[in-house]
Formats: sequence, C-alpha cells, structure tokens
Amino acid sequence: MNPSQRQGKINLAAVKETTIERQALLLQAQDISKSFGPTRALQNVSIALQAGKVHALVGENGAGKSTLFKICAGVIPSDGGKLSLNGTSYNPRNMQQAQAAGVALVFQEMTINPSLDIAENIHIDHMQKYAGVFGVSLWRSLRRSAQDLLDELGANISVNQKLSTLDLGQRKVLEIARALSYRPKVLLLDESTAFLDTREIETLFKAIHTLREQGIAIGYISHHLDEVDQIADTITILKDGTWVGDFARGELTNKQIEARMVGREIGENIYPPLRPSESQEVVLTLTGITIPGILKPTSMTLHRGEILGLAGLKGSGGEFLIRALIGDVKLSAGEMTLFGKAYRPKSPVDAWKNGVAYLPGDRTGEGLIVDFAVQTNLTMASIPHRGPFLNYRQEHSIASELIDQLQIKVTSSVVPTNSLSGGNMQKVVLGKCMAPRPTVLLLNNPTRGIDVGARMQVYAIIRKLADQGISVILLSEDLLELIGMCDRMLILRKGEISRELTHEDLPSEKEIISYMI
Amino acid sequence: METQAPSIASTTGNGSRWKFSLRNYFPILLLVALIIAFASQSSRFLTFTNFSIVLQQTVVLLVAALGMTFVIIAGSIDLSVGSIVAIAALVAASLSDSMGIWAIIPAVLVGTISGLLNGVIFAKGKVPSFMVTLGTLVAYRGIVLYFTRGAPVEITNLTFLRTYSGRTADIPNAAIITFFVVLIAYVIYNHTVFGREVRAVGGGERVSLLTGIKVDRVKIMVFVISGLLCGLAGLLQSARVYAATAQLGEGLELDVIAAVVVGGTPLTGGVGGVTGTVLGAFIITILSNGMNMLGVDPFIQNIVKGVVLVAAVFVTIDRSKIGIIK
Repeated sequence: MNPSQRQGKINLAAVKETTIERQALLLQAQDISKSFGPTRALQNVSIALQAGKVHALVGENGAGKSTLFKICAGVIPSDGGKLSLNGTSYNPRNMQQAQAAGVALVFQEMTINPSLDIAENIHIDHMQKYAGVFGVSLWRSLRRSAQDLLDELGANISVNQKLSTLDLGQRKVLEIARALSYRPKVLLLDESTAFLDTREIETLFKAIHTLREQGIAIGYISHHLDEVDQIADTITILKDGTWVGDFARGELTNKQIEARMVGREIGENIYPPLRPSESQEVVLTLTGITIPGILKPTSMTLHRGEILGLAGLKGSGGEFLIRALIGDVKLSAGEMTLFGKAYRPKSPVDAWKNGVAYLPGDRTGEGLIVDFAVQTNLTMASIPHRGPFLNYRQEHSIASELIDQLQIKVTSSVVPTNSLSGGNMQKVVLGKCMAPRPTVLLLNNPTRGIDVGARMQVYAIIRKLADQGISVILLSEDLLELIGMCDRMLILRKGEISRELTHEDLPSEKEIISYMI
Repeated sequence: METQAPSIASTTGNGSRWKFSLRNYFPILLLVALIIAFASQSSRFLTFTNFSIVLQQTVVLLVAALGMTFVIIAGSIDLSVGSIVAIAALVAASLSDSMGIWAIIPAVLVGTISGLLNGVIFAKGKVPSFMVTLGTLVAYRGIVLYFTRGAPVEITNLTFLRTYSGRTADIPNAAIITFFVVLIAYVIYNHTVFGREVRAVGGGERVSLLTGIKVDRVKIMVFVISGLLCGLAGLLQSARVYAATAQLGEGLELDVIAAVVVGGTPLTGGVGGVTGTVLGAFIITILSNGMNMLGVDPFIQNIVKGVVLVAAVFVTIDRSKIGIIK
C-alpha cells in the first residue's frame, strides 16, 4: 500500500500488483453494451472500481455515464458484457438485488420525499424492520439508526430537524445516508453536485472523504472537471458510449480531459473573448428594491450590451432579484426603470412585453413544455400570428432560423422536445428567449447540467447577443463561468450586494467565494 | 393546414409504431366498429330516421363536450356543465314566449356568466377547478330548483320550437347549428393563438407563465367558453323536450367528460382535440342508441358504458408521458 505509487499512472505493472491489490478490485464491469432502440448508449465499455478509491466517470451528455451506473446498480439490464463483484459473477435483476449484494446508486434526480421526515426518508426501504406490534413504527430505534448513519457521514444534521430546514446539499447527504443504510461496498453517485452550490458541495465532499476512508469504492459522475480533479483517484473518460481511457488523478490537465471527451482539441479558453461594452447607455436601473426576508434594499444599473454577472450562494437573493425583474415576485419597496421609464412588472407578461426575456433555471420544469414540438417551444414567447390566427408558415421559418443559428441538433422542427439531449434542450430555451428580440436577457444558470461542447456554443451565443446590444444578466453557480463571461459582476451575500467587481479586477475563484460567505 | 395541426404535440411515441397509430385512431375505429356491430344486429339501425335521431341525441352532449374539451386541455375540469345547461334551459323556456327565437341571447348570456364566475373563482381565487365547479354544480342546480319549485316550464312559442327543434331539408336544425359550432371550435383550437395558449397552459402552467402567456386569462376564457356552449346546449335541450325541467341535464357532466376522454383527450391536459370529441360524443350516443334498439337491459347498458370508457382510456393513454398514474 504505497500511496505515492497509487497516484501514478495505471500501467501493466500496477495491474499485476499484489493479491491485496487485486482483492481491492471491488466492482468490475467488462465489455458492457447497451442499446435503446437504434441508439447505442454503450459499446464494450469496461471499468473497475477499487475499495477506498473514488473513480470518476466523465464525458459529454449522452456519453453513457448514467447508463453504465444504472446497469451496475441493477436499474436497467445490459445487452452484453459481464459484471463481477469481488471477483465473483454478479447479475442484479433489480435495484434491491444490487443493494443486497452491496452496490447502491444515488440518482441524479432528487428522491427525497418532502412529506416524510428525515429518518423516514433515510429508512424508506427498511420501514418494515422498524415495525413493532401491529405494525406500529418503533420511532426511537428508527431515528437512532438514521442519526448513526448521518454521524457516520460526518454530516452536521440532526434527525430532529425539520426536512424543510435542509438545503439541497444536505438533502443529497440524506440520499447518501439512505444508500449507506444498505451497507454498500460500492457507492455510485450520479451528478450529485449538479444542483449544489459551493458550500453544499463542500458538505458532500467531506462525506465522500469519510466513506473513502472506510474502504468503500465510490463511483462518481460529474460535469465539473475541477470537482473531479479535487476528489477522484482515477478517471474514466467516455465518449459516445465508447471507452476512451482510464487516467490517474493529475495525469491529464482538465483541458486534455475535455479534448478527449469532445474528441477534438478545445482552445485554451472555452469562453469567448471578453469584449466589454463601451456603451454608457443605461438600460435598467434598480433603486432600493426590497423583498422582505430575502432581499435587502438593493440598487444597481445595467448598461447596453453588457454581461452582468450575479454570484452568490443559494438563498443569497440572486434568484429572487431576477424573478423580481420579470414580475414573478412582489417587491415591498423600491423602484425600477427601463430605458428611463418606470418599470413595474406585475407578472412575466409585462416583462416580456417590455422586452425583458427570462431563461429559468429549471429547464424541464420552467423552461420547456417537453411534450411539445421543438418549434412550438421556440415560438412560445412570440407566437407568430395574423390577427387572432396562427401563422404556421412564419412559425416554421422562425423555428428553422433559430435551429440553424443555435445549431440545435434535430431531425425536424416538429419532433417532441424531450427527444433532444440536455444541451440541445437548453438551446431551445435560449432560442425561445431570443425569438421576441428582447433588449434585456435574464439568464438563470444557462449551462446547468450540459456538457462542455454545448456550453461553449451557449457562451458564444450569449456573447454574440451582447455584441448586438442586448443587455444580459447572468446568474450562475459556476464561478469560472462568471469569471469567463462577465464584463462586470455583483456578488450577493445574505440578501445584499457585498461587492462589485469588473473584468479588470480579474477576480479569482477564492476571492469571489470570500465575498459570498 | 390539416396535416400541421397534430404535429404540435408529440408525434412520436416511445411505443411501437403499431401501438402509436392505434392510440391515435382508436376513437374512429371504435365508432366504426360500433356502427357495424349494431347494423348487423338490427335492420333499423342504419336508417335515415335513426341517423337523425342519433344526431338529435348527440347535439346537446356534443355542444357541451366541445366546451369541456377546452377546459380539459387547459388542465382543468368543469363539473357544473349539467347545472349550467339546466339554468340556460330555464331561461330559454321562460323567455321563449316573450322573445321567441331571440331567447337564445339571454340563454347563452346566462351560461357565459355562470362560466365566467367559475373561471374567476378558479383563476383569481386560486381554488382548484374541481372544487369550484363541484360547488357551482350544486349551487346552480339550487337556483333552478328555487325558481321552478320543481315544476317544469313548458315552451309554447311555435317559432322558437320550429327554429331550434325543427328540420331543414330533413336535417335537424339543432344539428346544423352544432355543425357550425364544431367548425368554429375546430378553428379556434387549431388555428388561433388562443388555442395554442390553451394547450400551453395545460401542458405546463409554470412554463407558460414564465414565458409571458396570460395564464389567468386563458383559464378564465376556457370556463367562459364552456359556460357559453352549455348555454347553447341548454337552449337546444329545452327546445327538444318542449320544456325546461328541474332535472334537466342532471348527470350530464359524466357523459360530457366521457365523450372528451373517449375521444382521446386525456385528463392530464396539454394534448387532445376537437375532432376526437366529436367522435367521442357520437360513440357515447350510438352506444346507448344501439343498445336501446337491441333491447339491452338498461342496467346492463350502464355496465357496458363503464367498460367502454375504461377500455378507451386503457388503449389511448400515453403512459410514457405520465410518471405516476393516479
């Protein structure tokens, strides 16, 4: 057990190491293949997870990462290939069998039930065990055992807390505690940080460190390479359902990893060059706007063609500030002006009418009606019409133009939107915001959960819109994105602006975080 | 234009090609199957006389079901249709003596106001439409009972009766009126901005709101349309039976919802259409008409109707779009 050797490249010699090493090889997936209809999601992909190691799986959307984890955890069957656990063949037919064998998966989606309490959420599958006479639950032992699991994770959560007091990161920790209740030897985490902010990610990482020390093998999927860099011992890159390579931590730079994910070299910078707007024309002003308990009196201005970033932890007020701008929340005080005229949107209807477009943070819940055709979604904010009647021809031409412009990958503009990948769906939302030709564009985490290729395209579009004179407000949990994209940045802390930075200040991530906390 | 309309919603299911087409064509296949089955059993079924009886029986149900189609596609439900029909019938019958054929105006107006009231309480008061209309189902019926004291109001005005329950070239006038209503509803649903907005609100209310669609207005409007059409349905029904009774339209909401759903518009909102509802209304009527003609026991008829309703939903529901079936 030489730690310095472990860090090194996995070569033939390492594979032939001692028997102890081989025993440490916990979950092995060999030549796994899987197709969904005509789509080949995985082709002969192999990975090996070791005890006490974090093994990251990276790749673009649709590379097959989640599919591979789901196969390992018995959620879906594979078409071909072999799974083994601790050297013996392992064929889970469903999640329960996988859990019993010691493989647990934490899904990408949140699976916390808000109407149950913390202990119940953790033991949702074991409620039978805690049933006493006549099925009456043994609350005390249920809670004690749930608390033990939480403590094991080093989470600062008490089972007596109300579920509603937990943030998303802590809820993710609950899901991991639930996974731990199966006493797994292998724990698979799928995009567990997608909806978490910096502080929440820290909570999660602490928990992962604790588990690694206990000798659990951890599989980890993430879009954020800097996270992977922090936490993973080994990295497997997938591209279009095929295996690209296994690498040790530090063996490749993030740039090199990205290039292998996308299949081509990515420039030094995934962000378009900063071209701060010279215009001093004020488009939007906020004076002392207040939302009780959420936003303290806040003032700011937005210039023509500028990209203004909003940084802050979740709950620091950024999201509400944006929602106030589109009239989705009520202000208790303050004034807003748009092009010098008073602006008081009562509902999003007023905002759009005044040329203020909004891209929501929740793509499928707030941005798109996923059952509807791509072109219906694209034109929803500006339904083409002649009098009261729909203009189908114009609708089709507007949609085709946006599909071209945004390089949305579709076979036809009338396919349902849910047949698209995450990145392409997000481009549809962006297209919807562009269609009415807004003067102000409000973006709430526009690249959440999309891969680097699609992200670069989204960045390029945002920069192009700003160059055309559209003023953009960009709210993001991705600090690198804010640093890379914004001409100017406001940092929010506990409902007020704690700092304003311009691109000339060249803030570092650390510096921004210091203003956020 | 016709070919573009269905493309708004999903055109490719996850299921096989065969299942997909069955889902779309089920209403028309069911209707044809019923006609063939009844025609083979009774020689009187496929006659012009029976055809015009079926038409007359269908119109009231169909007119009310067209309104319900908009309500359901917008993601809501209107349980008060039967009571609105009764109020409108009462108004039409009471005023038919003095106003003649123009009694249609107050009848439709009272229906529209009843619908408006439903819509405003639902959209502005944020009370679930199921509860609002369950309440007004009882309340509107109460109004009818209060004014009639349970006694029927007879219609004696001949012009009124000749216009609304007479025939032109052997075709019932009510059917001609209904034909135009179907046409207008079809155009509104498939070819207007409003129709698109109805679908959007039913498909994703939050998305629609954040996209700047006037969600409250759309919600109110679908109930106004439902009320307006129930007003017309009430008038046609009163003319058909020469009177307005306190019980008129009782239980109609169930047949109306059944017609919409059998026609392929799911209760989940966002998808569906006017054409399906036309087929659905005929299916419901022909089922009763055919079974009556064959002398099927009325209690058995209820069982058959229930089975057909569930079977239709079983085949037409797109399970890939609904996470949890409640």
